[in-house]
Amino acid sequence: MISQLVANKSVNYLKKIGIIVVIISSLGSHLVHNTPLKSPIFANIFSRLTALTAMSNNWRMFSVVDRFSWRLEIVAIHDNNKAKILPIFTQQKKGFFEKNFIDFREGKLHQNLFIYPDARYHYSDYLCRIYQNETNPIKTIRYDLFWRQILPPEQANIRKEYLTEEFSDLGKLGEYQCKN
Amino acid sequence: MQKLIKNATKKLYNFWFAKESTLNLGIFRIVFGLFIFNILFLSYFHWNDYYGVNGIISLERFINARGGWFLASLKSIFALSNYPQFIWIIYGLGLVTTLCFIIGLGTRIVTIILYIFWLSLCNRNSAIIDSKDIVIQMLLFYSCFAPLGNHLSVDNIFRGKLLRKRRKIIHYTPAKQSVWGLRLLQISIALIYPFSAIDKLYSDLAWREGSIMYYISLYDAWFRFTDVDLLHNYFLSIMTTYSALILEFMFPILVWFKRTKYWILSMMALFHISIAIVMNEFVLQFSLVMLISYILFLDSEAIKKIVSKFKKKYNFVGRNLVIEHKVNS
Repeated sequence: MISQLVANKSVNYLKKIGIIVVIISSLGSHLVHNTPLKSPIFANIFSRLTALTAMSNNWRMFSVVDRFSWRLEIVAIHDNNKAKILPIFTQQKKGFFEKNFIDFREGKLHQNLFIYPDARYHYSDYLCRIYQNETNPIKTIRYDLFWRQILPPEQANIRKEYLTEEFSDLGKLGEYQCKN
Repeated sequence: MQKLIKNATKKLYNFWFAKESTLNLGIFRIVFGLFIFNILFLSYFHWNDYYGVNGIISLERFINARGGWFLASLKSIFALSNYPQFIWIIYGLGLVTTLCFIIGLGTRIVTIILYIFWLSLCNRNSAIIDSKDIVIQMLLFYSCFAPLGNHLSVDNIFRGKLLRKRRKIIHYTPAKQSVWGLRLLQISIALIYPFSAIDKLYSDLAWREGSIMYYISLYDAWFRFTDVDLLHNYFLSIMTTYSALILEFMFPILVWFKRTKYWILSMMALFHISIAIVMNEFVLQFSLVMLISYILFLDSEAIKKIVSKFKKKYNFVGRNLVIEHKVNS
């Protein structure tokens, strides 16, 4: 039965048509998300495929770089209003293997927490759950931002330094209530 | 004019549908599989934090955000059960599937399962997803269409044994295959660079001025050596910024020509190795997957020639490949 189908030329034509559809939709999905073809019509045609191929993302790769160097501190505020910095990211001292291999996703998580409020919302819920204790429950998770402006090359040349002093914005990135 | 169109159509047809040896795809499958295995192995330590029922994004929140259990399950197999140990069953499935992918056992089906597994990982926790995950997902998707198991695979050994038995063939060599699947993989990688380069020029003035590397070299969240003064040099920044842009624009053009292919691949390999050294740990894996994807651009015939040279010189264990090379030439 199968060999008969294979011998049948119409199956081959159908296969070729299928292949051409895959090729065109793949190329189309690349173009739609990365060129000015970003019109709603194209996006609708290719949206299903782009979700599958992960081509719905723009390829940016360091396209925009902040003009300040920053770090986050995540603070747990307890019921008695005492604040405690949680041992996350930069607060931890790690070995080479742990930092480069085991925790290889932490850098991106750190980045995403800085950029996306949604990520902070989910992460706060997670922190509330894992750091919660019955004697002194956590009321709020606060995100403190510490940053130093990177001076433009000309200014850095004149001032003989690349970065300004460190500024802090306590709670700049929001406070999230724990659901106890 | 008609002749020109006819020639162009023929060339286009050959570009997509010519039959070629799939040795490079076999090598790519093994190395890419080992890379995925390495990621899975390293993810063991945080598996519960990243994908667990009470992980960074709890399963309950994930299901609610996706509009219910059914829709969430379509996006990620992690939503299929809220039993805490279920994530470890998925982990085991991922490891076994990856091992089968590496050795090329049931390659086509295993590739599809691995793709579904990876898609589920990416969808389950978007807070930790980076470019490397997206490139892997894209490569796995297109791998489903390519004859990855045609060379250097258990599938091929079985196929060979069967054919030798049935048709009394002494030396079985895998048949050449249409290259359209390989082309999709190659093009998807080649297009990343110019798209990214255009976006860079469009999005940030520092890319146009040549000062972007200066800013990156002082950016703690990305750069390893922010303390090294030499790396903040403005002239160095101009050189590296424009070199990166030129390489990104040139890659998808030069990689298709035999004369320039290995030159541009070497330059891009150097580019990614430098990025892996100077940038932070989460960029390392991205550089690795891009380097692995370059195997797709290697010429199978050239690989065979190198192997046969090794064989002649060191009596290398490449007997089958040499026979195949002789038969083909």
